[in-house]
Amino acid sequence: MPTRKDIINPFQTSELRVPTALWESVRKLTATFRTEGGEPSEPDRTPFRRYVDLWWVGVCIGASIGHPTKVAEWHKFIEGTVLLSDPWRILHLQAIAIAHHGNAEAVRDPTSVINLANELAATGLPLMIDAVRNPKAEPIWLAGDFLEGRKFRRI
Amino acid sequence: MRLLSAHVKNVKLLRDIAFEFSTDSKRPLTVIRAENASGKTSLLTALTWALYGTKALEDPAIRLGPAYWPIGRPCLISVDMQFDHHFTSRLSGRLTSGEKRFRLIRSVTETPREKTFDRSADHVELFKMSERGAESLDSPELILDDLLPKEVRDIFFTNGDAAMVFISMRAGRTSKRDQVKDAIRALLGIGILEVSEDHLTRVKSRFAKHIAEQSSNADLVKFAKALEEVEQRAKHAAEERKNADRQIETLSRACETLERKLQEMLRAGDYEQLAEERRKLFLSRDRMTKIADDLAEQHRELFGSESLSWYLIGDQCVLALRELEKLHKRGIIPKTAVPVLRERLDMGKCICGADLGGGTPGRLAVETLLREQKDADSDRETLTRLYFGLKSEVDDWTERENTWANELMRCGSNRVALLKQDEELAREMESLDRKIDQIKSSGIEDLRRDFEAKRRALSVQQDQRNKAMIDERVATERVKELSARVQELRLLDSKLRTLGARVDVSQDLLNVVKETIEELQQVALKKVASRMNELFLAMVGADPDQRGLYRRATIAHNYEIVVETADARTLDPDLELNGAAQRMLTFAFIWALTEVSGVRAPRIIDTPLGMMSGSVKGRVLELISANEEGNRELQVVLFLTRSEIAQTEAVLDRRAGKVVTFSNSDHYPVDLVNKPLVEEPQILMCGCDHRRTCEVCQRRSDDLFGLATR
Repeated sequence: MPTRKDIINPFQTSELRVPTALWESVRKLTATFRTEGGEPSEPDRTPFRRYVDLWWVGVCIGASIGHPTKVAEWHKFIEGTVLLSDPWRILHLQAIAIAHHGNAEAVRDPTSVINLANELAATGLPLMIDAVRNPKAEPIWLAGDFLEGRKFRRI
Repeated sequence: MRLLSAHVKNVKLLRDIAFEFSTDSKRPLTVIRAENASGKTSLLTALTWALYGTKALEDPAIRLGPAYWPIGRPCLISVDMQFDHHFTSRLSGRLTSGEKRFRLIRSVTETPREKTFDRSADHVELFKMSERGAESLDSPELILDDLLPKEVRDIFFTNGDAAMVFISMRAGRTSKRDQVKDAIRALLGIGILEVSEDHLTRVKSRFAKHIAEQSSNADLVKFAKALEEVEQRAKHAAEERKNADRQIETLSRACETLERKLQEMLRAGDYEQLAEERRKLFLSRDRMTKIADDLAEQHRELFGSESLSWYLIGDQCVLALRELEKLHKRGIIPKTAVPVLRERLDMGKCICGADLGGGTPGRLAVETLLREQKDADSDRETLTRLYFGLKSEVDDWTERENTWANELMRCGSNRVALLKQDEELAREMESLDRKIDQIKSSGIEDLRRDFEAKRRALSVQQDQRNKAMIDERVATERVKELSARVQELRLLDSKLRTLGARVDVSQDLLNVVKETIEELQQVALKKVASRMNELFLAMVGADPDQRGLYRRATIAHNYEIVVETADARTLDPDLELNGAAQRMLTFAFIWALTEVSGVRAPRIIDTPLGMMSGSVKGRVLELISANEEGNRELQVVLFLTRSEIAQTEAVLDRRAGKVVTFSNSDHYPVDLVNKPLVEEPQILMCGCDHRRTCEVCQRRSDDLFGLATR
């Protein structure tokens, strides 16, 4: 029986992407960008430590809604190697693909799995970004309220 | 006069305060509960100013409006009061009496400048209120002076500290007697006699001058001129002395206030100890900041966690697993057939028992099957891994579906709780900082500098007074000598007989007036002394520590207040009475003055019970609120601190008709518990009485006084 250690990353060379139009907003909500820019990266203002964390939340929201969004211009922010740092994401990515297509064959092509994930992120990210835009509260609290409500599930 | 209500706007920190006075003759006390710097003196100033105008202000050069008022912006200051006045008059030979109601509005505009301020003239309106409405009255100041003569102002509007002037050594013995004499003279209301005295003095001088001008005797001319000059000098010296006395009084009071502030600062705590407390608080806050940072990091980690993923797409994982289970049922996964077939080829025998030896049809079939499986192997391995990976997680996912939401809530609650703790620590820190600031050299040094400057000014005034006293004494002696000499020479000159007779007559009249005034004063003095004695003995009788020590308190013919002990010794109240007995004596004197004056007006006393013990305070309150004669106009307004009120609550329950509490918003967070909902510093009023406290007035020291929360 395979263990977590046994998980092989079929997405090593795949590109994780976000719509170019959203890239600036994505950067501002992550500690990675703030740290790179020499700015303080208080958790309250940057609820996501890495770009991939926010991308993943976007994927989950998009998967919950069930609609991928076609995007003309993409920005690649990292390669799929990053997924191995949180191997559960590999399993969940594949699960999302199977659930989305209703067919286990969906995992046969890793590139199409990642393409689907990117498109789902394109659906979820604008909602996430919009939810933390209220100047009356810090993004971390707004993000918590938004995700905890899971209202997008009913969209 | 009986006060009904007052509405004060913009007097010092009294931005907008309106309240009613007790008009219940059985409960004649109105109590304003307020701690130091909480508006007591400002209210006293406001009421005094409303009734007597700017002249009555202790120092008209000091602004009446709020200190922080913006430069250049006019500030409208006003006091709106209502009061009743009981009158008695004789109409057509019949005595009638009744009550009139008045409304008084005094207002003024102050505009702060860089270092000074502009103040407009007072605007005063007095209305007679009746069923027909409000009738505006002419000459309101004259009417007010008739209702509440200015001479008795300091007796009816006073404070515990100022009253000490009658026995305090700061004024000097002569001045103390003068103060007592002036107080008694004031309550007699003998203005006409005083004007006569002044007039006759001037008439006598004029006649004396005529004598000098018309005499042919060179000596007489010389002596008369010298007499005139010396009389002027004596008068001038007397004025100088009185002026110096007033200055000494003002400066002494300022010195006492500064000294008290210095003491309060030093009592605020040991600087070293406070600094150590602050250091500990700082370390606590530092630790708390680190914990808060860790918690914030944990909070952020939640947004990249597996539990969030399960929370958001757990249902998708379940769907995927169902698809994989279908493959499992069909035997496509797990990928176990290939190793088994290889093992059987190696063994040369199938599970079903068929021969798989070299060249057998069975072996060929198995080898073909193994080749076909090879391509699908990679996908099946992926699916197998996914199947087992999801299966173990999904099985217990339903039980921990809300794990992430719970973690988020716990983390959020912890952060909020920590934030509150940090706010509490910050408040403590602020409170400590204020205490430290109070002690810090700048504050104390400023006060000390101010104190020393006042002390030096006081010393200069004392020198001037002593010099003036000597000048006055020398000049008075010289006046006597010259008068006698002029008298002798005048009698030798027959031409001057008529003028001389006029001088004599004016002198005789002057003597009559002076003696009349003195006689009236002595009569009043006896009445005041008698009542003062009664009150003093009643007060000390309530004090177990002083009971039986004193036989009587009296005022001598020379207007000196003295106390006799049970063993017939005479004590100087200033030097030989303790603080509590001094307070009782001055209080008894002031109260006796108000009673003997016959003026029926509210008595307003700021901080009267300082230094007195609980039983004495209670007795004093009983005495001043007793109304056995049913006097409708008996009204006593007291400004009391919580410590003055302590142990008098039962008396106040019975005798206080109205009680309100003043709090200074600026006392948060050092003394006040709750943050006031106002932006600018100001006095806040609430309806809390002597037994209660509320969100507005609750102080950190309230536990000491057993107050109930409203």
